[in-house]
Amino acid sequence: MKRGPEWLQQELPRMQAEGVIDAAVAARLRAYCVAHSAPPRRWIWPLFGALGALLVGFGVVLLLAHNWDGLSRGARMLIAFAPLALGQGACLWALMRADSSPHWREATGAFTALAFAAALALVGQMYHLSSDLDGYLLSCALLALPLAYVLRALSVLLLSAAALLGWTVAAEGAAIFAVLAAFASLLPLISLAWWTGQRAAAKLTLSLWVLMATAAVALSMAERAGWQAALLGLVLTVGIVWLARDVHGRAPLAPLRILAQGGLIVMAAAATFEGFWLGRGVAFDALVSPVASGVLLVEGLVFATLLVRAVRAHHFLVAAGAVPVVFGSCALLMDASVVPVWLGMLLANGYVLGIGVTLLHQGLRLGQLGTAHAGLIAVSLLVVVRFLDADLPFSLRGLAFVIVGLAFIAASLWLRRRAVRA
Amino acid sequence: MKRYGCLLALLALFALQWALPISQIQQYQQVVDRGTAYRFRTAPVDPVDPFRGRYVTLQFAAAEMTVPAGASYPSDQPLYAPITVEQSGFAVLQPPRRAPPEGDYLTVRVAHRIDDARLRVRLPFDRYYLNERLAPEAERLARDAMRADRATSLAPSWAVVRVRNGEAVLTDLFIDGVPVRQRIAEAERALESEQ
Repeated sequence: MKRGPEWLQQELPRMQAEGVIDAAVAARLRAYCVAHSAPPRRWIWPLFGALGALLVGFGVVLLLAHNWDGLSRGARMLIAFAPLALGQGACLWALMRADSSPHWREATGAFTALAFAAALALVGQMYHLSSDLDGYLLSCALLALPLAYVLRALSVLLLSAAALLGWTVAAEGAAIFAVLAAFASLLPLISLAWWTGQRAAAKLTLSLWVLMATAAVALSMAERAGWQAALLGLVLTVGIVWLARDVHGRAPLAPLRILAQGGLIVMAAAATFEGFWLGRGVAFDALVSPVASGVLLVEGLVFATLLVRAVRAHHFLVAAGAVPVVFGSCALLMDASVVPVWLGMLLANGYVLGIGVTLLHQGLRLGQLGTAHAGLIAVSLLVVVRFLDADLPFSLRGLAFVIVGLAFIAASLWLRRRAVRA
Repeated sequence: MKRYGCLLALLALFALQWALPISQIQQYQQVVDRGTAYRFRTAPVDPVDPFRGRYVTLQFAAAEMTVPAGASYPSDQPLYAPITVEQSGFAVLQPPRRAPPEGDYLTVRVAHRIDDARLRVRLPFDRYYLNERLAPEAERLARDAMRADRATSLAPSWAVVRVRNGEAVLTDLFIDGVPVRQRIAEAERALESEQ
């Protein structure tokens, strides 16, 4: 919940509409609020640039995956290596000419890491190599790591961490020491970002690092039988952390808050897929264990209490944020006959779109860049997952990713310029 | 000074980013150019790889073999299966060994033990990439061909695999004795003339 100038600025339109203050007072108060507000979170802008570059990079991966088998092997190699050469050139330019710009370092680094992944994948496609997903993801992670260090690009570090997590999944029981060592190798860059003044960015990266490292370590240790109960516990934990902000009247610590927000976003996106609703009822097997049942029951009660409390306090946006937890719990617990798959998908798609548009509108209305960007991310996420899900040609999906990525960068720049002008 | 250090590190990394795919291309191209060609009986199905696109998964008859009863085969290390050619012209694998044998062989890993006398191994090739329009069509044609030829448990489809020093690269897929792309083009032409 916001306090001080930010809260006052948020309340001004309502106070003016209800006749508490007139337009002149509202304008003076708004100027006061702008002058005394906390400095805008500039650290997050480079990550938005990187997000756009990531979308374009994934577009390139999909365009190459189309399999341009009408072209000669030489031409396909040219197509495979052109984005890599382009990305590398941009990285050199960023290092030599724009080293002080984290936007360029983040965006060029993320694009180059993905262009390398696309080039390596195309070699496998050209020679019909058998599936070696773990080796492939490990190669991508290990070669992205030095790129992250040289460019001091936290988005590349996160890509490397995501590839390491994927490697843990694909390797099916990767040695715990290898997983720990691989994730530990990412930590010095986060410390470097912290000590060079990028504290907020370092906190965000550290939170996501903790999330992925924990998942990877758990995956390398977990036995398959306990997954569903663990998943349900994780889903409820995310909801409790999110709603706990209502108890103290302020947000929890940044890593926990980001853990909750990240978890909710992942769940909301996952719930828009058919597969999310198909695997229902699986947690019942895991509930045989009395300890697991007890823990899950307590978690469920705490979550329900906090949700009711948020609704009673009229904190509807906070309560709406916890809806993906309800989706996740339903999908894990309920029998297939209770909620039809099409209804679950419809509700989830409508939910993500509704949240996105609401946040975008609210962000623009109140001049809150972070909120507007969150709305932009939600709408882009929905477009991206629908294109992934649809049975469309790879080339069309790749093109859609590139367009959404470019639109995202353009919208982000527009919002930023608008904020600077205001 | 620090910037030039970073520049050197970046150039070294870029060299590595090129070296890895290029060394793979060189390695597999040598097998394609100089390797011995073998035909392996197969049956295709059509899945998708999120990074590399659409392909047909190939289930090879050679992946299942008879082994001496009681012999043990470790699943945590690569094994070497000698290749022999049957009278029919198709390649089959001999029980794998722990050291590379004389002549052509494939590097395999144990998938599972079916029973005391039979073993299933993972071959170094199991897929053939086609674009998303052709892959489902290839599967359909292979299925039709299999229905037409009930005499064999696997489809009258085969893959041409080039082998050199234990490395293998799949170079072509045949359905009904015809290269897959040609077979699909024939099927499409037949469909167009019917319409």
